[in-house]
Amino acid sequence: MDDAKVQLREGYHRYTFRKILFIALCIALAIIAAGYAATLGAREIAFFDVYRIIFDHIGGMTYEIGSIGWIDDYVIWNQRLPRILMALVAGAGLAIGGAAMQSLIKNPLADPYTTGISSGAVFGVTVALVLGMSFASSISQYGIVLNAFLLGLAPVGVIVLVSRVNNASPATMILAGIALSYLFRSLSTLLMVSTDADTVAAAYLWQIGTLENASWSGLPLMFCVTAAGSLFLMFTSRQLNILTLGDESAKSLGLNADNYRVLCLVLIAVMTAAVISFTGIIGFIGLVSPHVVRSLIGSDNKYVIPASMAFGAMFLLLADIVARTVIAPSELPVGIIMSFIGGPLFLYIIIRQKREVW
Amino acid sequence: MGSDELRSEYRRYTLRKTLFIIVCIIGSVVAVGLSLSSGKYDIGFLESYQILFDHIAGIVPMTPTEVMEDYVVWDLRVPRSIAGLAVGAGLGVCGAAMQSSLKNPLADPYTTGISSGAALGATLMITLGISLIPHLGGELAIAINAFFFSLIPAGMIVFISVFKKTSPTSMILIGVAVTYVFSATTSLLMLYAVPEDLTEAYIWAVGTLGKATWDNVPYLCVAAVGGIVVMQIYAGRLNILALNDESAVSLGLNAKRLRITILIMISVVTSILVSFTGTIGFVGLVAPHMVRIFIGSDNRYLIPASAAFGAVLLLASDCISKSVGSTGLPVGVITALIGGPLFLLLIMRQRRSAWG
Repeated sequence: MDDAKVQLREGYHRYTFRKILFIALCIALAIIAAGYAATLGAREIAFFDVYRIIFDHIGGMTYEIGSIGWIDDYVIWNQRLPRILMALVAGAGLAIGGAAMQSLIKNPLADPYTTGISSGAVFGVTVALVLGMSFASSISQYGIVLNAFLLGLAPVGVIVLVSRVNNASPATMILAGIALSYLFRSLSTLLMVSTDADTVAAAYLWQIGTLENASWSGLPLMFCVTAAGSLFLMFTSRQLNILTLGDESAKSLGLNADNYRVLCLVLIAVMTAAVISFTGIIGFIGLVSPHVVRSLIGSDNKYVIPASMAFGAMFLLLADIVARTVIAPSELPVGIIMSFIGGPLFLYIIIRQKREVW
Repeated sequence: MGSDELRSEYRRYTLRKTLFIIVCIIGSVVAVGLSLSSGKYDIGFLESYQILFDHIAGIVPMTPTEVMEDYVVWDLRVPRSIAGLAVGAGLGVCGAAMQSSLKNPLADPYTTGISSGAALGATLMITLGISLIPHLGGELAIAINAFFFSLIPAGMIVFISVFKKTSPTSMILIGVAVTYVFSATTSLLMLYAVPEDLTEAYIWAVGTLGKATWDNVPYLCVAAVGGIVVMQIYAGRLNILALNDESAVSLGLNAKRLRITILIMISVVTSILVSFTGTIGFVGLVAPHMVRIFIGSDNRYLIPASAAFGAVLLLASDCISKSVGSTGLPVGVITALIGGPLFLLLIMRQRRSAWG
């Protein structure tokens, strides 16, 4: 009897060990990548110095203004770190949103934008760029951010309303998301075809997504929203698992599937909108990170959620490094690089995987 | 239950569906009239039918006005009307078949990556002037580029499926992977293009029926009619495929091979349509969904009904898009502007989900 217990325990350890190893590996890689990313730029700062400077700054060390230490500190802390942190937070937020969304509506094609967030945000930005209208008092950078954020949330608001009137089944939500996406996208197209070529180029650039405009001002909001959403999803990963079994099973296990789904949907929407209103529509990562993770460690959401987060953060940062170095000193939008690296990688994983995780 | 009762119940079951199809066909005949009579040159609604039938009957126009009207209707507006019907019907059918065979409500005719391939082919020609067939320029080169590039993603799905056991999900994901690589390449080209080329490529991708002429309409018609006929023949098997693969096997169907066959046919039909019109969205995805809400998911009725409904939806939208503004608007925009809210309303009103 004891023997069987020991065996069971060992089996479980093996089961969890691989998953935790994967997460730890992603985090370690992200830290190394962050150090390397901080060495990139006109001013040369060595790899290990980067970590020292960051720790010194956190430790409260001050430098004489104008000294070498002060300049290094300034360059790392004010110029390079915001971008690195933004890549990590955006990657984590989008990947976790994608993982949760795919489980919520039980569809491998789902991503954080499935509920129409991206089309709403694009519409907001297009309105700001083409018509010069904004929710903010002045049409500066913040006008675009605010427009993207608020209009990005509009489709989800409508979906929640629809699910109250009708029902909150995954199919209904997907279809409502499709309807709203098309509506907003066609409104954006309407504005795009009626404006001049330069504005089209600007709006188009925003749609691809870039981390170029990273600064400390946007980070706190992005970080807080992403952290809160991630914590909630991690603590309710059991409920997510139950939901993937089907609504009937969920009910018999004491979970109100409809309410939980709507709650998560709103949460993902706020998280995604907070990220993309600063970065633009970064595609691929939200859809593909969860798939990569699932094919490597299985689809238990208890591990898929944190692993997607770690993988997404690492992956976006790596892609951003490539985007900055490949045609230095100028750079490419990170979304393009991610698709170029991620597409073939993803294809390879699909072909290699032995069992079906969906 | 007596056999008479059973029979009358079956009649009721089919009557509603048949009625829906008939209403859509009548709708598209009306839409043709609207399409023929809308435009800069003023021709009445009923008059346009008259001119059309006269031309078909071989009556030669006599007065200069008649010659002019005959030219406007027959040479300028009829091709566009036919293109609207053919593309709407073709995309509707392909969307319905794709959703059924992949068992996914998010699928549309472009799910296998056709739109990204076509956009890449067209953008290559527009921004860099690279054509698959040398010394060819203009619209034809764009169309040929779009056609061949759009078949690459589907080709990869088929190629991988032949060597490896692939579920519908894996097929979709392969399409997604290829789509991302193609889209990234297109984005890259568009980023470095001059703004004018960017705008042209953008408008190509949005899609229009304005490029229809008597030269390219035959291709569109052959593609659409071929798609409808083939999918109607396969409708019964599509029903089985939509259940699950085990049921299909136990009913004597090779689910995997059948799915690949259907995928290839959808891809070829869609590629032909797309290469002449650009990627017109919405119709292929939403027309089948709307039809499902009205008449359910039985493919034997879903296929023809999606064709009829897609045709009327696209052509009616095109009439509006032609008459808005001085240069008109892309038809995809109008379709989505009208169809989007309508679709949302239908979703809210439906009692049971057609997707179980």
